[in-house]
Formats: sequence, C-alpha cells, structure tokens
Amino acid sequence: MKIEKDSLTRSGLVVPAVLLLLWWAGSNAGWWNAFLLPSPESVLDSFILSIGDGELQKHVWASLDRIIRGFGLSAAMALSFALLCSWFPRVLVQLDPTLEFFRHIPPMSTIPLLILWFGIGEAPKIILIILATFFPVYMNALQGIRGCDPKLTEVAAVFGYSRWYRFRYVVLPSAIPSILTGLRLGLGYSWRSLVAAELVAASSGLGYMILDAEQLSRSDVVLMGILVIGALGAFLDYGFLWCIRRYLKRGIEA
Amino acid sequence: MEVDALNGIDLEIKEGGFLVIVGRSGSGKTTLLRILAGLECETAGEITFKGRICGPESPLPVGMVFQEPRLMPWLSVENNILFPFLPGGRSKEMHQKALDILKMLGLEGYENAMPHQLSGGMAQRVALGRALSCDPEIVLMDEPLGALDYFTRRALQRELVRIYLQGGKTFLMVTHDVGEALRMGTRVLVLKNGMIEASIPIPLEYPRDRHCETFQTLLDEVLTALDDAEGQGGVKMPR
Repeated sequence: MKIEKDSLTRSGLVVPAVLLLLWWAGSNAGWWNAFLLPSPESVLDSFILSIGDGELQKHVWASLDRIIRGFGLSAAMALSFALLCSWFPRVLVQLDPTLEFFRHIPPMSTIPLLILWFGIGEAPKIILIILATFFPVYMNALQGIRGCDPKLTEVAAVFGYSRWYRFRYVVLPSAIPSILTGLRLGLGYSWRSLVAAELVAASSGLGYMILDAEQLSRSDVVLMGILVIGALGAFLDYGFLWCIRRYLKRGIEA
Repeated sequence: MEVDALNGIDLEIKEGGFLVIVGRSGSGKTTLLRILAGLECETAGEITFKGRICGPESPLPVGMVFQEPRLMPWLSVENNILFPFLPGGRSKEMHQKALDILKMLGLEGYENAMPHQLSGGMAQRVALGRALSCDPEIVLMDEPLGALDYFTRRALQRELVRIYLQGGKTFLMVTHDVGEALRMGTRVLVLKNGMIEASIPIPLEYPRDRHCETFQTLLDEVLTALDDAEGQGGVKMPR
C-alpha cells in the first residue's frame, strides 16, 4: 500500500487530482455560475459526444497536421540557420541584427499581412506556427554549438581532427542537449500559437473548435478544447522526452 | 600587449627519455608544451623531429594529457579511449586495443562506464589511455596530476613511470611539483622567464628514494635553479 502511495506522489498526479476534486466539489455545491465554469460532468459529456460523432478526432488531426508541418519546417529551418551561422561566423554577424528584429515581433501581429500575402488557406497558419517556434529552436541550437567547451575541441585538435571532424564529433554532440531543449520549447510554442493560427479563417482544428464554441456560448466545449490541447501537448512532450532518453545515454535535464 | 612567453629555447630531446619541465607560473612551460602539441604557433624558430621540420601540415606524433581529463561526456570510457580513431570508424581490433589499455591502467570492466561515473583519478587514467591509444612516439603531459589528491597523485606517478618503463615512447611532462619531477623524470628542465635556466639529468634508478643523498643534492640543484628555495611562486616543495 505504501509503495502505491509513493508512486502516486512521485508521478505528479496529486495536484491534478486535487484540482479536479475542487472543480467537481465547487460545481456541485454551486460555488460559481455553471456557465462561467461548467462542471466536469458536462465537459466530459461534451467530450464523449464530440468523440462519438467524430468531430473531435477531425479537429485533433487537423491541428496535429498543422503542428507537424509547421514545427517540422520551423525546426529544419532553425537548425540549418544555426549550423550555417556557427560554421560561418561572418554570416551570423550579418544576420544577427535582422533576426533580433524579427524575434521581437509577436507572430499574431503579422496575421493581417499573412492573409494579404498568402490568402486564407493553410499557408498563413503554417507560417504563423513557424514564426512562433523558429526562435526558441534557433537560439538554443546556436547557443549550444557556440557554447562548446574549447578545451574539448582542443583535445580533438591534438589528435589531428580536421575542422569538419571537430564539428561533427565534438561540437555537435556537445550541443545536443541544448538543441533538444530548443526543440522541446519550440514544440510547446507550436501548441501555444495554434489557436492564433486557426483564427485565420479555419474550418477545422482545435483552435477553430474553441472559437466556434465561443460564438455558440458553449463554455463546456471551450473548456474541453483547452483540456485536449493541454493533454495532447503534454503527451507529445513526454513522448519527445522518452525518445531522447531512449537514444541518449547521457541524461537530459527535463 | 605582447609578451614573449618563450625566448631563445634551444632544446634537444633524446628519444626514449622522460623530460620533466618545471618553472614558476608564467615561465612558459605550458606554452612550450602547447607549441609541441601544435595548439599554438611559434612566432620564430622551428621544431624538427627526426630530421624533418614540423608544422601544421606535418605535426609531431604526439598524444597529450591535460591538467583536467577533458573526456567527452557523451562517450563511454571505451569510446573516449578510442577518441583519436572516431572519424575513421571502429573495428574489432580497436575494441580489443581499448580493453588492453584499460587493463594496463587498472580500469578493467569500466569500458561501458560514462565519464561522470568516474572519480578524478580514474578519469585522468582514461585521459592517459586516450593519449596512448594512438601509439604516439611522444607523450605530452601538462600538469596531469595537478588536480588530484595526494594519494591518487602518488599512485598515478608510479603508474606513469611503469608505463614509461615499458619503453618505446618519449615522455614530456610539465609540473609545479619539484619532488614529482625528481621522482619521475630522467631529466629536469628548469624554465625561467621563457628561457632554459638549467637542464639537470637525473641518473637515479626507479623507484626512487627521496631520502637518498643524490636525490637531495639534485633537489637542491633544481631549487637553486628555480631561485625559489622557499617554494613560493607556484612551485611546490617536495613531500
């Protein structure tokens, strides 16, 4: 019994369980207006209903599809830029002020222009996700590569490693933890930008589902959408961490 | 600001010897070693090895041990030992070679351990193994035992002498510790302000008894050359 208790404490499920209990107790005791915060039962009902008619799955896939494409493209671009800038420091000197400028622009502020330039199809949505996720991936990768301990590259130099081999066998492996942290952050940001991306004339996706429910005053569906996004994001993040731990012997600090 | 770290060094190193370089901090010991390792470029002069002039295109055949182990934290002990061969890919013989080196260093069974699981002394042994794995003709060591505790230090001193006595390699070691220099070297080179102050041969058999008269005479000689009988300025008195 004690072991079970311990594993529950360690799993970090205590806080969600307490919150859920409070939510349930407050809803049933009428501590707040059910329209402002619907009860867990009604959220669960709308969840089951939504799964039953296939709506939720459709929205989840639409959102996942955008995230995979947006984040995949963004990660590929950010990593390529980071590699380019670290291999050619002069490129970094030239690009740095421009990237710094773009880094401070909130992606949402570009929506009107994105619609003007790319219409209301998938492109502006994907670009919005790219804008939101590019910088955490790029900055972390660059920092990891540039932060490689010169004492380690010196060891490689003593053993006759060429510049490319030093990069391939010392700099890159030493940057892996930073790169993975950046990818994790970027993946998280992609979910956070999803609702904004699906503001752009979408007809599917979790963001769209939430906005549609808002218009219909269905706060239970809004809450269900938020919970699904949070759960999917956390699930993807844990999956990502699991893969990292599986393939890297060295522990990555979570 | 420009400083001449080394000036007018004319040094011939005999094959198969164990040269220990001592000197105060800033005397140019490390710079000399780094130039030999190809990590710094000399502004004047040249290094020749068996008649050929060495440079970036044809470096000295060295393996180097630094003051810190500098192991690659993402590689296992075995892969750290085989680090000089990583770009060329690994073979079965190399695995055996790594195991032989680990055995020689008393680290049998640690081939799959990661660097963070090793103690300071063990990590430094792996660093030594890495330097030896490419079978270099010259082994350079920059205060390799400087960061270790007294007992580990003494154990590794004996270990290094044992490996040296197996023959075939020339050892060059920089140290602050005059006692260590006399216990290990076949010649002690005293550097002062970037110049060679003295080159003192140590004609003693291993293992050396620091209480014997010759040892004490040589010790006085080295200390006089260092002009540092009080053991100040970063030079350790022998223990």
